[in-house]
This record gives sequence, structure tokens and C-alpha cells, in this order.
Amino acid sequence: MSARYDAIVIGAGHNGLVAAATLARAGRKVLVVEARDHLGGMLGDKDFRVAPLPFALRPDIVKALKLDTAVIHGAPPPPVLAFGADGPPLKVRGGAVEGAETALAQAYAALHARLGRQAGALGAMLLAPPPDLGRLRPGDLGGLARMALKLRLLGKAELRDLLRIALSNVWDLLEDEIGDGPLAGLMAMDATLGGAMGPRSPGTVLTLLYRMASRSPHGHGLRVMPKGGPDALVRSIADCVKAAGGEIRTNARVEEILVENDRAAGVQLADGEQIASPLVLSNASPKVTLLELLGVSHLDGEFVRRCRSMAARGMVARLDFDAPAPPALRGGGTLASGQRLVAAPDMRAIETAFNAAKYGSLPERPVIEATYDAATARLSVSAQFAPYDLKVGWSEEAKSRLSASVLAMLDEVLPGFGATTGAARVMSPVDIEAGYGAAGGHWHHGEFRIDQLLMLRPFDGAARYRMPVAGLYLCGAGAHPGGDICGAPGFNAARAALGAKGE
Amino acid sequence: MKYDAIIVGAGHNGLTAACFMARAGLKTLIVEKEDHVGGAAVSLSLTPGWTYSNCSYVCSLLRPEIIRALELPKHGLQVIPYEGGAVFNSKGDYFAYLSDHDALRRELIRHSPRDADGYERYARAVMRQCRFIKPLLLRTAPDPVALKPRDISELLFILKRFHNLGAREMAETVRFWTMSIAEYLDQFFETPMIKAYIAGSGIIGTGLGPYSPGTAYVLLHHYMGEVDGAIGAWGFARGGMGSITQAMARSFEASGGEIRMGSGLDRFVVRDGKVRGVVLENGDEFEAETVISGMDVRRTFIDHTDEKELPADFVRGVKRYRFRGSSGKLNIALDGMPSFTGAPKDASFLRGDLHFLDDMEEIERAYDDWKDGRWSASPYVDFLIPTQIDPTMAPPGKHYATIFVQYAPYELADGQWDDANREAFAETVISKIERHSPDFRKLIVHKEIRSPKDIEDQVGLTEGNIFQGELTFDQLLFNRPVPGYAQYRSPIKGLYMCGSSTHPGGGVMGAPGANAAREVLRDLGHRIDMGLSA
Repeated sequence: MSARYDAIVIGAGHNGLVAAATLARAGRKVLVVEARDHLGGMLGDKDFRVAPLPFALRPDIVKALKLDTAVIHGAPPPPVLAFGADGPPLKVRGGAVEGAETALAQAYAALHARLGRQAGALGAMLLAPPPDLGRLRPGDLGGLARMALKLRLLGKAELRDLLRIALSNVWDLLEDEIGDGPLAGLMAMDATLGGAMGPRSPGTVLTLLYRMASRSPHGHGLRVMPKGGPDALVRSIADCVKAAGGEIRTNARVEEILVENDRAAGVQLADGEQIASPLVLSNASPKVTLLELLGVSHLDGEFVRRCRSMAARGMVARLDFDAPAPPALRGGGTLASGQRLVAAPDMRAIETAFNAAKYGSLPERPVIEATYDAATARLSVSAQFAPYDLKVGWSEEAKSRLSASVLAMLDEVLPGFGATTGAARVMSPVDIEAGYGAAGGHWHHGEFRIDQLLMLRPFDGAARYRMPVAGLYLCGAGAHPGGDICGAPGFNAARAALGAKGE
Repeated sequence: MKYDAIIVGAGHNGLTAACFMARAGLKTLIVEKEDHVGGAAVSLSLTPGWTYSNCSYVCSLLRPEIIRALELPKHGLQVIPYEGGAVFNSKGDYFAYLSDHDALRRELIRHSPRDADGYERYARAVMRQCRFIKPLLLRTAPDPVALKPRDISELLFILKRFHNLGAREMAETVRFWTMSIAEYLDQFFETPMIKAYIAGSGIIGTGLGPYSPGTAYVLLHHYMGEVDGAIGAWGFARGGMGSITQAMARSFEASGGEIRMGSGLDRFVVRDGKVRGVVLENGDEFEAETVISGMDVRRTFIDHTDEKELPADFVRGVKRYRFRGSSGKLNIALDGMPSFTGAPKDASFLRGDLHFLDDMEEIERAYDDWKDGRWSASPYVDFLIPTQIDPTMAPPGKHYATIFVQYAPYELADGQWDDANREAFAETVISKIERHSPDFRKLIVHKEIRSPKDIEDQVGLTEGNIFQGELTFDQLLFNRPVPGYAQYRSPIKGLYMCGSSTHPGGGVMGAPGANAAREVLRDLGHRIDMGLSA
């Protein structure tokens, strides 16, 4: 077995592709191996997408990889439709709200702008490797110093405010600033979607800030649809890999990460083929990478214990409904293709939906976001909270029960929709785990909370991308800075791997 | 009449602050609305022959440095440790938490040998956290934004301590401060009852459930205390919790202090941004250029201060400050000692804190009820019968039970806290206890029922929150009570805060009072040793 590659990337999710592109552009000979028959991981193919509405790829990454900004940033996203208990939806475009009372709209705009500024300051840490608590290096201090400076630039009042709310819950913040209602429901959805926390859980302001830190020319905190859809985004990064000489193989499931003399030596595929490489970057979740692909025999007991106890309990189910025509909205008009709809009438509805999930049950009234895709004539719904560890198990019956409750919610905001569609295709967190290498079916490969962030992401002792087996790196959402479609873990991991070469 | 310093409220923190003022030689007055001292640390006789600790009921957090400096034992304070506790589950089994290490280990092994080992790891981990936080209790929280020289040196003190923990322990500390108690305990234990027993300490008094991030830290608030040097131990103040405040009052008067009871504060007198004194409800006026409020932050500034004297951002901060009462209390006079199904008669653990629970989920569900504005259908109770150890609180052969109940909302979604609802609330609690103690109900001679609303009305704790405000991160350290005003000073010159609304928060600890006194004396130029060094 001879090394034909400088680096192998396991998984062609967007982070794997960003990592591969970064390595290839630095002159490394890179191979990406993907188990499925298509690229893009959770961005999916045209048959099913776990993430039909991408967040924005970090602009610094778009620039570094010289991606086509016209494709990546697409057109300005249409306003998000936030449905309350009755009446027409509010139309929300960034910080601007249409359909709300003036005072509320102003309070919302002020809060949106403030969170954007605060998120921007914290965002200085997103593209830096997390600091090492035990051994601060000059390079780490740079990232910290940049963040400290940006925080100071917020001014005293705003910094005090940030230090107060940073570990707090989104419930209290929104209650103070805009009161409960569909706008609070919309923000609380952004704060909770994908995680195992309700709006009352301390720590949800941080998840909201994380999402507010996403940036594009259209503003911050937006889901940005690339021109040509998610496929165009995936193609764009994949083309970048190939243009720089990288190779991508699909239908190539990695069975094992090979180790020789305590160093990563390559991978073995399901068909027995072995591919050698001194660097292996895994876009699979930390638990899958370490416990399944690498194997605990290469790790010490305490490290394994911490890996196992990492919180990664997926809470979102994805449902696809056929939608032969653009669905009609309550209050008039139709849902545009690529437009986001949120049915979380207030924070309490989200918290109540979370109650059931805490005990491993499905809520009677899930809260949902949905988007319509005209090209495939489909309505894609993300429903929470649908726990990975459903007590009765994710049987067909459980899925159809969830499907019925989601459809009931949809019928409230898209009157008559139920009569035009058939049974949904349901993907539970268990399906997401099986299909995408994400332990627990968790969107972010691991819960996004302060005890699993920065130098504690994915867990203590495993931060900074580099694993105990030399040459093995984590490049997926389980690594700092975390999930959604931002590309930063892949970018950072590739740079860490490049930097380590000379050591 | 003119004083050097006036303290509003004779609760334990007001008394502590006052004692240090008087000891520094200042002419000090305490004004108190009730005709007894104590605030939420009182012993009251509501039925002949019985004494109730009708608010706070057990003692551990009171800082030993304060006990020593104020010579409280000399003034009559005696704290008697109790010997453990137990949780009873619905299947008729129990887990007894015993203070004797070997006995506890045997009991843990009876449930799970793995949990017996887990407990050793758990106890060491929590002890490390206690050691880290304890020195911070009697210090003023540094302001990370203002960064005056003293803030920087305090910040460095904390960072240095943090750094000295080493990388592994630093990470553990961050996790501990932010995790949920449920997830924290899952790392060490597998037996649901054992986890439920410990988890209670993570939620007592808060509007959070055991699954909420941040509750592991609250656990610390119940573990960092000590009785006679036994860290984590809890005890009864002989004669009820009022003995603590009565000893403080005697210490205060021995230093020449004066207490006026029976009339509450009407308002602070403020001129030109400076405090000049107080006016009482009965019209009495007293002058002083230093006034320290032991009341919570909302009562101090919203109810008793002219809003015009305060900056708008401060007022906003005070109004935003969260109380959210979540606890109720039953005080019960018993005709005899109740029995408990499955527990040997005279078992030593019956002298400690008793609970009736299957698992942590039961507590979390109790929290869900509270979120929706109902008292818990199956509440978490902290049930103690102190008269087994302290016979002074009931006639011979009779007993007193203190029952702390989590959760009860300040405002009910349906209806008011009227007599009918209070009775229904008490019935929920009593019938739960009765399932484990069949003779309990018929032994009841007298009972006092306190909803959060009653605690507010009778004790003056806003919304009935026992900590004068939630112990969540947005309200701890430099954020307590209001960012920028976390060093006991208020926007009004000479007006200070010393209640549990300030760092380090609630519990009968005395630390806010002592810390406030230190800041006041500093501002007055008294560089004296308060005698608080450990």
C-alpha cells in the first residue's frame, strides 16, 4: 500500500468539501471518499435534503476558495413568513418586519441589529482554532485578542448587555425586548432548531447569537438560497476541489481508518480496498469517527468516556410532502419557491412541544419550518421536537402519527393543503444518523452549548481538530465552531492539518 | 435623629452588615417593619407550644468567618448537624444518604456497586468545585467592563485560581458551571433514586428543572456550606432559624447598635444625588449619609426610591431582574413522630431531609406544571422533622415538620392564591407524603401554608423567591443584581444594597451583608480588619 494521496477526506458534506478544497488549493493531493451516491451530505440531492434551506457559507471562506459569489449568495432571500395563532403571517426580512405594529417592529429591528453586532464580535472566534486552556500559544492569543478588541468596540453598554445575556435563555431576552408572539416564536425557533433545548433553557441566547453570526451580502442571520439551489452550492465547492487537482469518489463507504505505528495511515473501504495517506480528515461526527471508524482500541479510556458522554441527541424530523402547486397561505397569496415559513405561534408553543420530547415522546403540536421547492413540487418541513430516543421507537406508525400532526399544523397556515397532498416521506433522527454519519441524528453532530463549544468542542481533550492518533483530524460540524451550513469547521481543520505538517 | 449608618431590614444580611458597621465604631441604626428581627430567618410560635422555622429551615451556608467575627456562638447560636437523609420511591424502597462514609458506601452498594464507585468520583469532583468557589464568596465580584485597577486585580485573582486548576480541571469547571444537574449526575450514577436525591439540590428555590442547563451550579449553592468545619453538612439552628438572627441582633447591640422595630420604610430621602436618610411608615425620620438596604433590589429601588433619582438604564435593569417565586412551604405541628413505610423505626436518616421521588423525570415534570402556572401535581418536597434533634421546638413527645415544596407559581394560571387554593395546594403535598407515611395526616395538630404570594406578603421577598432573585447566570457575579451595579453601590451616593439580590446570592449565608459592609467601610475610609480572614 503506497501513499498516493497527501490527504483523504471522509465524507463529501459541505465541510468535507471545504476542507478538501482548502488542502487541494494549498497543493496537496487530496481524495474525498463519500459513502452515498451524491455529494453534499445533509444539503442532499434532489430526492431528499436534510437541510433544504442553507445558512450562509462564511464570506471569508467564499473568498479564500474563490467561489463564485453570484452563485453562493444568490438573490436576496424572500421574506420569512412567521405565522401567529391566527390572521395573515408577518413578513420578516432580516430586521425588517411587515405586518406588525410600529412599536413592535421597531423593537424587533433594534434587537435584531444589536444581536447582529454582538454576534459579529463573538464571530471573530469562528475562524480561529479554539484556544488551548493548558498551553496558550501566541497564535491562539491572536484570535482571543481580536475578539476582545471587537468586544470592546461594542461599547460599554452593549458589552455589559452581552455579558448578561450570553449564557441566558432566549425566553427571558425576547420577553423583555419584544414580548411573546409570532416574532418571538420565529427568533426562538432560530435559537432552538436542531438542538435539544427549549426557549426556556439557559444557553439558547448563545445558539441564537451563533445563527446571527452567519453573514452574507444580504445581511446577518439569514438562510441564503444559492442561485440554482443547494446543489449549486455543493457543485461550486466540488468544482473547486477538482480544479485544484483533488479527486472525489462516491459510493465509497469508509469502513475503517487505518493506523500504523500510532499514526493514521489511510482508510479501508467497505469493498476491502485500502487507500494510503498520511493525513485523514473526517467529516463524520466525532462519535462515528472515533468509536466506529477508528475504534476504541486506539484511544485511552478517559478519552472514550468523554466521547461517549458527548451530548448529541437529535430533535428534528424532516418530512417531505408532495405539493403539485404553490401552497395557498392563510391570509392570501401563495408560498414562493425557496421561501421560508415558520409556524411557531409563540415561544410557549415551542416550549410545550419540547416538554414531550424531554421524556422521549412526540409533541401533540410540533412547531415547524417549511419551504416549498417548485422544481421538485415538494414542501419540505423540519419539525421539532422529534427525539432521537423516541420511547416507542421510530416505527412506521410513529412516523405516520408525526406526519398527521405536522399536516394538521400545516393545514392551519396553508388552508386546504392537506387535501392536495399525500403521505409524507419522513426522515427521523434515527434515519439521519444512519444516512449521514451524524451520531444521534443531530444536525450539528453534537449539542451546541457552552460546555461543548470552543476548547470543549466536541469534548475536552479533542478540540483543535487533531485527534490522539497523529494525522487524524475532525473536520465536521462536531468540531469548533460547529454546525449549520457555514463551512468553518472544514476550513479550520484543513488549515490545522496544513500547519501541522512541518511539526 | 442623626446616625452614621442606617440599615433597612433586620434580615440576616442586614444584621450582618449592621454588625460590621457597629464594630467599626459607627453609630448604627436598624429599622425593621416587623416587631421581631430575622426576615426570612425567624423562629415563630403560631400555635401554643410549638416553634416554627417558618421560612428558611436548615443551616449550612452561613459563612464560618462571619460566625467567628461576630462571635455568634457567644451570643447564643448553636448549630446541630443532622445525619443524612433519604428518598422513598413509589415501589416501597428507599435510598438513605448517611453521613457515615462506610454506612453510606454499604447503602450505595445495596442499590448499585457501580454507583458506590461513582459516588467517590462525584464527591471528589464536587469538593473541587466547592474549594474553587468558596474563596470567592466573601469577595466583591470584579467588573469586567469598567476594569478599574481593583477590578483587574480581582479578575487576575480569579483567573489565577482558575488557571491553577490545570487544563483538565478548568474544562471540568466550565462544564460544571453550565451543565444540567441531570446530565452531570448521569456521568456518575445509574440508580434513578440516587440521582433524584442529589438532583433536588440543583433546583431548590429556582425556576429551572433538573434538565435545564445551569442547574449543576445551583447544586453548589447547597453544597458549599459547612457545619463546624464539615463541608457540605447541614444542620439545625437550635431553637429554629431565628436563633441565628437573634444572635446577630445581640452581637449588634453588644457593639452599641440600635434596632427600631414595628415600622417599615416609607422612602429613602435623596437630595442632589445623595442619600440623606430614611422616612418610616409611621412618619419617623432619621438622618444618615450612609444607608444600606437589605431589601431586594425591586423593593429598594422601585417601591421605595423616587424613580427620578435613578438613571433610566438602571431602572430598566431593576425592572428586568427576575424573581419568579417557585417554592411553597408547609409548617406542621405533629402530635407524635410519624412512621415511614419501609424505614426502620428510629433510623438515623429520618432525622435528615426526606424526599418522596422515583426519579429526576418526576422533578422535571413538576417543573413543567410550574411553567404552566400550576403547582406541581407531584411536587418535590424537602421534608424534615427537626424536633428529633432539637427538642426545644415542640412540647415533649410532639414534633414539628418543615416541608419545603418545589414547585409553586407566584401567579396561578387559573385563579388566585385564596384560602381554597392554598388548602388544595397543601392537600396535594400532604397526600403525597401520606403515601409513604400513612399516619402522617392524622398526627397533624396545626398547619401553616405559605404560597409564594404569602412569602412575598409576609416576609417581603418579591414574588416569594427565596434567594431574592433567580440564581441564573444573567443574575450572578458581576451581573447581580444589575450589570455595572454589582459592587453593592447604587447610582445614589451613600445608598448601598446588602440583600441576597447581590453577589453571591441567596441562602442564609451572610456573605452579601459582609461584602456590602466591606465596600461601605472602604468608601468611608475605614481601613479596618473585619476579622473575616479564614
